[in-house]
Amino acid sequence: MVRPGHVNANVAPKPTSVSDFAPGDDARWATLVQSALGAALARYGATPHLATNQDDATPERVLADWTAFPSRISNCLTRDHARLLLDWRTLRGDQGRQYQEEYAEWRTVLSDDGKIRRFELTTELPDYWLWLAGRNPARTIELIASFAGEPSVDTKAVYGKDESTLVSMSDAQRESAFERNMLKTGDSPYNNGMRAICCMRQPTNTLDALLGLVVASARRRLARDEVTGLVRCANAGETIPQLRGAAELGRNSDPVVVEQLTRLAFEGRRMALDGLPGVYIHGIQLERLVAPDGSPIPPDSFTFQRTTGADPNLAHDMVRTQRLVLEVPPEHGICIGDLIDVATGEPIRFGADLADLVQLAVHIRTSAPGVVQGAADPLPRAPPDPDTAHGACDDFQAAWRDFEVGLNMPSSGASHPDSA
Amino acid sequence: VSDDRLQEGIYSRRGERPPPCYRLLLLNFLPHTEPGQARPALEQIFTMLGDLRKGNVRDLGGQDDEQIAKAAGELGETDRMFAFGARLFDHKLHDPPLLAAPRPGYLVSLTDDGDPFPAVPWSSDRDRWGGEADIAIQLTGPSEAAVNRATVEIWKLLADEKLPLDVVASFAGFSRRDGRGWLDFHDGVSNIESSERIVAIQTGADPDWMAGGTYMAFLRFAVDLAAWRGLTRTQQELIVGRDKLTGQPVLDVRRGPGGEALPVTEATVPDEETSPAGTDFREPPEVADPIVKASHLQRANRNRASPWAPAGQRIYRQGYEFLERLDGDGITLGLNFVSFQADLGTLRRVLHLPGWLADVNFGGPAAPSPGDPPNVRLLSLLAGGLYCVPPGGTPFPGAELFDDPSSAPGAPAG
Repeated sequence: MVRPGHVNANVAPKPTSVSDFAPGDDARWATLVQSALGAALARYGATPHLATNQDDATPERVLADWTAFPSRISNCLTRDHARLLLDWRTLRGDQGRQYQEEYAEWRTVLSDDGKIRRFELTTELPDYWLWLAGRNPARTIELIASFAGEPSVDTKAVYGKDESTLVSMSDAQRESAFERNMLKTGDSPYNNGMRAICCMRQPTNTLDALLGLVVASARRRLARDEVTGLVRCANAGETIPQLRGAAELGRNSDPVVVEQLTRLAFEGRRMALDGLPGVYIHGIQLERLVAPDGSPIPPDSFTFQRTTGADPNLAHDMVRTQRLVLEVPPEHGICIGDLIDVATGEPIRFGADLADLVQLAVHIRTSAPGVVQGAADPLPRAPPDPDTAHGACDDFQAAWRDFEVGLNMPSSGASHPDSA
Repeated sequence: VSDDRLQEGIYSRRGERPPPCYRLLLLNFLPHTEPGQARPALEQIFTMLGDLRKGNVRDLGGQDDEQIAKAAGELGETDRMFAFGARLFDHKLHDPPLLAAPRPGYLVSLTDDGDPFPAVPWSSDRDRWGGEADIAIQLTGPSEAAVNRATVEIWKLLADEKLPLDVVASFAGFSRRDGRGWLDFHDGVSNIESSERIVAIQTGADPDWMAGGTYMAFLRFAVDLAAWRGLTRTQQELIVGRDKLTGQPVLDVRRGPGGEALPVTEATVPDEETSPAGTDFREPPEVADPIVKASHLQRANRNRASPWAPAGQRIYRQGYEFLERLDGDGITLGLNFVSFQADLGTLRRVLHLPGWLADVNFGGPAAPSPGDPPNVRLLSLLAGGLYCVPPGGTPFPGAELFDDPSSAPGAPAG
């Protein structure tokens, strides 16, 4: 059974009890998040529809959900080209990551025959990992080793420094070292897909981007229909051009968050982020995958990691998870690359094929309707050109011109110890 | 919309309403049809249907102007739409191959092995032919006479001209003017505002020949009306998510004396400021109660987003109901669920995503607690198929697909 607001129960994760932080650091992380929220409010302006803290005035829970396959690149390049680009791997790692712009990034591990054997997807924010890497390097290394399936990881591969040097560095210095190696264009194999994927690194998959999206969207915006003259809630095509870069048309994620929050504001609701801000894995379209003989995929092929319970006091706790691993246990005699997606009739060839199955969500709390009585920001009457719904394509088209066939070999050569 | 290139037969433009009568005719090319025979065959059919609208009936050559005008009066508003199924692209089924173009991404045959969708099984009365074919011709018009005559004229043409096509099946349907369906509830009330429909319907250039076209799902659902009528009105309203009489969305749930869930709807009709454009269109408001969230209305439009948000998973529905059988053995009726969408992946996600329609057959909680509406299995699939609908063109829509069949690759398209 799957209830709204819950991760697929057929592959339900268990909340982790391990804290990443030393005592006190979790509160300081929450303070940093509040500070980032304040910066977003300063950039996009305060809104009466967004509370900066959860309070009793926002008891209801809602979410906006989308799938992790980046729709904009597909619309710009065709689905076939998009899948090639999104899974593009070179000797420097997964170049395709820079186009994975839906608040989820993935890597694949291939078998010797080139078929996908393992798929790992994360929605963990780089900001969080930067903070963690600065304050708790031991936990950082421990987690990365577990992601890579290795007993230990050399700190040089993560920070560019040996362990003894790391101890003597300040938090800020460790952050910088981690950022240089693991984020942006850093080429550590532990976050470029060659040995592991640790957290997101695509430039817009960040805490600031997510908060900016929420803050800029949580406003009552109206549009007047050009034909009937009636007023209605503005759509993403009308709203996003007004958001000063806070959202991108054509994506799965941004427009649906914009429209959901705009509509909640339209109903006069106050909103707040539900728990620490993040994008969470909400479900999987399991029934789309079948074995070559038509049988269902074994449920133990899915593992959720990095899970937390948002509120342990709730009867139906909303478990939040940010990492997904898909690998068919060897006793079944097939691998992921043998599975068929019944929606396309094709075997799974790309990580992007699996990203299309993963449902992501951002969780919001709201008040009852009519709590906020505010003036609306009027929008122009001219309807947007439908062609703009697919979003801007220049960057993707340029990337496709530069695309060369990448590596077609196992990413690390080593079998993941989690695979029996 | 200036760049609207959709074929006729999709009634999404402002002020348009689908005509009341529907027939879908499915055709397969005969085995070993040569590519050079396929294109002229389709062109002949398309041309004949155009002539028919002008009142020119093949078997009645020589009619005077008055008779032609009478025929045109009956047939003139019959719209024809050509669509191609996954089968047409399958080189294993066509030797020699008829097309060089590869099959579009999500254009697949519905599975025979198991249920076609996670929560919708095949009907035990499943039609022998299943709804899949090389070619689907949708005929819509003002009367049964109009669409049925057009259908039979195609049959005559196939025979007279020995065209290399077999009739596979045909399916009929009708629409109601009261905006309700067999369940007696309002249907199609929240079917995308007309100014936004083109974004949901019209596809891009992937593949090139589909630019400006759309994709059609034809799903002939049998409705278990006896099971539906066995529910109380309250249960029905909670499952649908609307008040049965007014059509107002259910907003909340309260509990009756026996713990039974009771729907709470809006007390008043909203004013202009909160009522979106168009008297025939309205998005449901946000709800918090899990039973309301589990209703069909909320599941089918879970994000309440417009087509400008791809994750809103919006599709444009243009369904026609049917009564297939009523005799001593019982009744078979249901809905020809016909939808048009820019991407068939959108429909798949609606039917496969948790919390949407993947975990319940029609609506309501998937695992109801005492007092909740029951999880009733209402729908099963009698026949169905997915089709690509190329943009309008001459000599017939999609004709360029057949332009250079000699370059068809030898390898099967799958």
